[in-house]
Amino acid sequence: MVIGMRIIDYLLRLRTGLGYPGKGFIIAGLGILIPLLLMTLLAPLISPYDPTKGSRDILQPPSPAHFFGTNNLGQDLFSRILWGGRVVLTVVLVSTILSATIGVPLGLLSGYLGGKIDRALAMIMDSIYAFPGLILAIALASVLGPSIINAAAAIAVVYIPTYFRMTRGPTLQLKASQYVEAAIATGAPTKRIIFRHILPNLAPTLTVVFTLNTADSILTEAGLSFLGFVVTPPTPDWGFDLKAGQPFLPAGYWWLITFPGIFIILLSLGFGLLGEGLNELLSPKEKTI
Amino acid sequence: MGLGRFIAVRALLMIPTVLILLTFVFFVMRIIPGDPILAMVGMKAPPQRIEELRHMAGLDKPPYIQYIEYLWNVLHGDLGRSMIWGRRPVINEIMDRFPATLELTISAFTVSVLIGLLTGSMAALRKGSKTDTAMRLYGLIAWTLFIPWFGMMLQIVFGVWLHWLPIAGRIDPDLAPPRITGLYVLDSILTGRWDSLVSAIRYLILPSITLGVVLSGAYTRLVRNNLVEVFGQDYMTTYRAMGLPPKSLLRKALRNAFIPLITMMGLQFAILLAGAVLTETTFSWPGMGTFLLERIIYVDYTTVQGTIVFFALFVALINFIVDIIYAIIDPRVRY
Repeated sequence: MVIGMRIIDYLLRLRTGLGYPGKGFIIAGLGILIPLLLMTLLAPLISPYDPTKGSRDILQPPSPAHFFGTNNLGQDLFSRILWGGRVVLTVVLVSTILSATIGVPLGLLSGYLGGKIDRALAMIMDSIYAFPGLILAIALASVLGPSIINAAAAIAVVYIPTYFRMTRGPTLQLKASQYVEAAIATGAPTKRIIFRHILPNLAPTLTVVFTLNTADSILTEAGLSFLGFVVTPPTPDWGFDLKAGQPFLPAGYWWLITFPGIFIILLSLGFGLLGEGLNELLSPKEKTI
Repeated sequence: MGLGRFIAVRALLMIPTVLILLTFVFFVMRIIPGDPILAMVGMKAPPQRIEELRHMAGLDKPPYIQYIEYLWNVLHGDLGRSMIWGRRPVINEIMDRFPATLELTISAFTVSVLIGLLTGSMAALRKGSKTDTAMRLYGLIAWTLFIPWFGMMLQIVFGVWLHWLPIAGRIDPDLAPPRITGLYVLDSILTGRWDSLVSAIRYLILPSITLGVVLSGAYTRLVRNNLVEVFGQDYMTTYRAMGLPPKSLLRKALRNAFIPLITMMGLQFAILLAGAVLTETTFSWPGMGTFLLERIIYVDYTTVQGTIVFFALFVALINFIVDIIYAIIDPRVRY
């Protein structure tokens, strides 16, 4: 609710030309994300070739027939990038939603209820949080085997502590606030306090965390894919295509790696910019998360 | 609390952390997958071979016995034996590869802090200006640069097109210095082999820049924000009123802005290690990352698990050291 109202508030200000904090970042972020999302959504309509079908035109440099050139199997790289975006987004969305649905309620309950369980949970989450994310994802993916679902699960595990910490910290603060104390004093049930008084106030922070975390998990997905833990040929995926182009690098076939990489960075940057902007828009003070 | 006591308390606090990490790794590697060997080999292997591998990894025992054995062994510094070729102890194999990763991470870390200090100071000195926004953007873009892509772009430009620097490996194979520490740069200096030193540095440049630039983004932002805060303090106003030139002002401010930077370094270190895995793969750098991936392909389960445990313990140790350094620099932390 809070977010919705604030966004409407800022949209109104936008129309009156007053501007709002983080405007440049939000516009830049959306400017990158909207075309990218459209591209991947419309892949079946706009993709000029079958992304998995090879041809005799191997290792062709970019040309009007093949915007991004072709690879060693004669597959059209532009089509592969359009379709590959779907894999990236599927893995990232599934994993982000998974880790948020586990991490947020856990952090909320743990922080609000407190006690020994809270302390133990916080310690466990801190330990996992300190572990290098990609290495943890590699460990999980290696014992689960390469697949889109397994990769999403592995990435989800990596980011649960992030959501837990980002929810628990503010929950502790809110719990100590006067209005929550007042609600407790008037005998409001715990459920009502959590859902009516705490969760809505967490929404702005969580929106920012969600956006910035997506930017990060895109890079983790690309890393896992690059190392061969997400898809198997001939499925297109940006990180995997980058890896497939690597053997041809010493011979100077630059387009095999340039384009998949640029799309990974653009997608991550888009969410990063949007997150920065939302952070300024939704946080009362200029603070960094 | 005296420093000695602080260190003792922190060391004791490491015990639950390490136990949690070891238990977590056990869960990740053995419980979640159900049958890790089957997942790693794939369905193609004959059942006999799978049974054999399972036995070698100790996976044929009940889980709670596996867990106790695993904890017991790790706490004794025993990470098991590799499941391939000579069946060497995993810890020896790791020690063969670890110096390469250490050399890369130290060098990349230096690059990232230097860039972070430079860009962050530039932004803070011209707060609110175009430079400030540009540096903020730099921080964001640097952080999203996908390591393999950035590394390969450098390889194409400086290796393939310009022929300035090598693109794969750690040193010219003929020039490897005798092993003392395993860090080629250090070993070359210690043994006075200058041709080895030049070769080691030439191979180190591109991987370090790749990893260093990507990590510098976080420092840019941190240095900038810390400096802006310090510049706003009363004592800085006093210095300014005293007529100190901007250069010495910056020097005084940086000294104070550095303290929060150190707490970040523990967390940054985890990111540094994760980044090193990708950097090593991109540059065929024979470190822990390439080692881990190589052994995953060979289904060397014990080694894979041992390497993950090693990473976990290493990160815990670094965080411990960072805490102590912080306590030495800022005595308030001890209370």
